[in-house]
Amino acid sequence: MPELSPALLAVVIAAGAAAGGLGSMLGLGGGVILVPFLNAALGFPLNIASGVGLMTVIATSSVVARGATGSGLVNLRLGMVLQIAAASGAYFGGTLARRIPEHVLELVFSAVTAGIAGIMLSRLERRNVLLDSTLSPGRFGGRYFDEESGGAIVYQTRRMPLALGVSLVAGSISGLLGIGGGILQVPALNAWCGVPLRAAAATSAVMIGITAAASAPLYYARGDIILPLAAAAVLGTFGGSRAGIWFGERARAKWLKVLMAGVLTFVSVTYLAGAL
Amino acid sequence: MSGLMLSVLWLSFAALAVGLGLWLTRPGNHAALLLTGGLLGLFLIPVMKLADVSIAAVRERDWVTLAATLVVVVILLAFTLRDAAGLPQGSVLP
Repeated sequence: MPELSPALLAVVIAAGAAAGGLGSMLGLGGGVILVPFLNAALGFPLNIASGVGLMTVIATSSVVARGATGSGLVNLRLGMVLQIAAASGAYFGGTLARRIPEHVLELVFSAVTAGIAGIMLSRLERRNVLLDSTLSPGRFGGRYFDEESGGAIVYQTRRMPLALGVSLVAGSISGLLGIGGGILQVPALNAWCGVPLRAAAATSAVMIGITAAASAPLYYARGDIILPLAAAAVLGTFGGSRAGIWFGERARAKWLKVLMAGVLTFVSVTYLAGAL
Repeated sequence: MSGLMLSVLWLSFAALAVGLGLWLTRPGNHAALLLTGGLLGLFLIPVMKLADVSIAAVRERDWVTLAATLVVVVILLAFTLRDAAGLPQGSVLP
């Protein structure tokens, strides 16, 4: 394991900031980028990298929960209902993980993320918002102030069974591969269920923090969370997440989709390379 | 609850920043204590968020959100207990 020098901690702070920025903007938690970086690029064992990744997910979630809740972007009713499916999927996914060869899972995940990236790119100009703010959002929709449109907008969540199904699969993959389910949940909610990317991302960022908080104490108890390393990553994440919220609220939805497609492609290639 | 969450968030941030600075200059018990306190504070925030959502749901008589939140808590507790059962004996901190 590398020695924790001030220079290395500075690199971890910068990586944490990047992970927190992307995590808060796209609802991914950031672990999907930080864990491979700590493991493959800096040489930390996977259990240590995952423990630090979990801490950054909690930090991102905490900052988003504070920064975005008042704006109406976080849809807690939708998030909690989908979380039932995601958490159940993660529970059974962890059990299934021992029976399916890892390279098969990685290949399937790589194909799925590549497919979703393609779907995101094909829908760049389409927005899931109703500009008439007097319309009802329905049981699982929401209402928030949108900087891009300059006014209050409403969205309705469609195809709730599909949203629950995707959350179950996302949760299973999270349990199988040890990554956050937001990477599947956020684009699927946006592409097929009528939830704007900003709202899906903010809701996902808060929810994955709650999931991470269930397993982080166990990593801590096992000694997989190295205090100065985790502190450096979390401090970077604090700054990055706040910047991510600021940019996420102001960036055009189209560019957020391009960014999401880019991250999905990166993840797809990473897992394809790991499987081959 | 929101104000309390914000206070815990900033206290955690401050403890981690000071703790890391101390660890770099004078590693020892004080640095470890601050870093541990900062991380434990972070663990608390999602738990407080769940409590916050539940309280808000009761106030607004939003039974769907309340029921979903309680089911999520039960599933996550099951997770934690399952994983804790797999821990080697003596590895849980006092």
